Amino acid sequence: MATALPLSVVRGKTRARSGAGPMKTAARRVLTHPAGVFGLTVLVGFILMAICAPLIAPYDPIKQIVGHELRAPSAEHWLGTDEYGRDLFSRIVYGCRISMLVSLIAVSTGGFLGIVLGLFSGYRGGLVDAVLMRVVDVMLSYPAIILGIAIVAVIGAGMFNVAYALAIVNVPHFARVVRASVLTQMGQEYVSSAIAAGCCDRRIMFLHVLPNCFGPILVQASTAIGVAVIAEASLSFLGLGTQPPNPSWGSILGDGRAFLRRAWWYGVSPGIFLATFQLGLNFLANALRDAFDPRLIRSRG
Amino acid sequence: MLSYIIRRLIQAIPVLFVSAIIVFALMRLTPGDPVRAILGADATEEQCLALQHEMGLDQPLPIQFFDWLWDFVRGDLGVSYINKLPVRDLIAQRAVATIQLAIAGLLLTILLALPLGILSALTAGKRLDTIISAVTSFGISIPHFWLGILAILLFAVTLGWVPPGGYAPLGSSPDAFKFLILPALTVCINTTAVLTRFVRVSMLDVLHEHYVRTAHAKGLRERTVIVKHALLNALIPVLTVLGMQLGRMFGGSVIVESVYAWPGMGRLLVNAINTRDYPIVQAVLMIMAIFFTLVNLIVDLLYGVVDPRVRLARR
Repeated sequence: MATALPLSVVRGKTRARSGAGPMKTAARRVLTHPAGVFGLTVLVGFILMAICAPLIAPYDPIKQIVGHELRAPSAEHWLGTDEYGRDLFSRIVYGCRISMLVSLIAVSTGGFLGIVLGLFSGYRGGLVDAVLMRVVDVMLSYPAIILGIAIVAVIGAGMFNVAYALAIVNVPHFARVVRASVLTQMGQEYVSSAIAAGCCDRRIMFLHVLPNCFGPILVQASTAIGVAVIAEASLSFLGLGTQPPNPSWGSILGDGRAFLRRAWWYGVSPGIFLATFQLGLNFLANALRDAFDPRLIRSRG
Repeated sequence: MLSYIIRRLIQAIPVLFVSAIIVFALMRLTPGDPVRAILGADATEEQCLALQHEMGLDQPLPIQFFDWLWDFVRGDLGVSYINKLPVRDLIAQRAVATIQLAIAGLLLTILLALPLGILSALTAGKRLDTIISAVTSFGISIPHFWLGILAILLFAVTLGWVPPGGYAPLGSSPDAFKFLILPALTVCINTTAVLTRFVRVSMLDVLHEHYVRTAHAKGLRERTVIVKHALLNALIPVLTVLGMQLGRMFGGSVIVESVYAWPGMGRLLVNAINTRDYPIVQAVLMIMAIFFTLVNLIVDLLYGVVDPRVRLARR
């Protein structure tokens, strides 16, 4: 009598026997990676700071206190005040809201469009792919900040415009990453069997191929969040982003630039938050990359 | 090799053409009428129509595009809306400062990243390697403009070694280079950090190759093995990253120019956007597009020079 296959194999649950799926394995790797833990802590911490801004900030971020102009850090004003007597700590806490909001819009919108384009381009191939990828090449040959400036030049300055501009900047990056991983997936047997089983293209693209591209997408997203926050700050620093009196880390730094001789804290404190966030996101991106691609760990020497 | 160069040059043309279409389209999408921008709000309808005709704005868009492109190719970049000066002259003035900053930044990147990366690879896992890796983590994360502000605070305001900003053409006075030091260091920090890491990884890969072991085995001096056998091969992938980083450095220089009041093309662009001086915006963006395409092209060509497989394989 022929031995029967274990039930789990018949039901396609072979993966369950090895303990966990690739997503769980990756999540565990990130959570046991010191850099990953640090990065996640920073990301969650800043998101909480943005959500709870009214609870954390001791002052109204745009309220000018007459007589408190350019005060050094003290118990009353933890990070000092600016030239209008506004509390810098409160402005930075509220500035975190703008940073998080802009990067959320930029990465979710740009990511969504990029994923759809990349999926389509990689799956279809041919002329569509060739044309789309040429456009992507051209967009990628500009540094993100220049492309952002160019788009803001057209649609005008302002916080939401910066978010839309950065969303467009994100599209080619996501499209490129997704297309590359779609191409590696297309040779896999599960795609052939899905085609053989008579699934429609849309179903194969979104339900079969896309979930397997999740790792690179997550890595790209964590990089993109950091880049978006820096880009928003850079554009605001140049006066093209968030407009006064609203606080953005970049515009606070830009204003503080004029008072370096009289008030050093003004140009220093927002940068600490900006650099910490960026460091955390870089660490998170590295941890995710290692978690999803174990080969990299070995080649790091 | 010649056919490889020609093939690459031909491939660059569609990229430039697409860039030109994008730049042209961007500027046609901008709100506001250029004729009004030039003549002012109190111009009569006839004056507007006359100027519109003179500027060719009543032509169909494809004809406008090719007119603009043809003017651009001939070096006619239009006239600034604000101060009525030819855009070509305005850009020429600023380009020197930007090129100075870019070359200084590039040289610093190479001079810092190569030794640091090699050192890090040779001491992999030891304390020096850990320190260099930690420093590069910060170097990658720190925003240009904040680093610039910190550098001004320390070196200009507190120590008084260099001026806090400004520009003097190199050679105009013995102190002219002092203006360049901080901007160049600031602009190179990110690229140096990225490149250092890449040199380290690339060196580590190569150091495990058989030919390096063979070189050791036949009794070559350590320095010969590192420089002639390992480094030259490790540099091949480094070159591509350097090319990509060059673009990023150029992007960073737009910010750094604003931090140090450096009168380059980046500041020209930002000021032109703030004053809605679109001929300048258009010209600067197109020149940048050409610059980035050229950089990519040069990197590709160099790649073909250092690695013969590339020019043979990608036919």
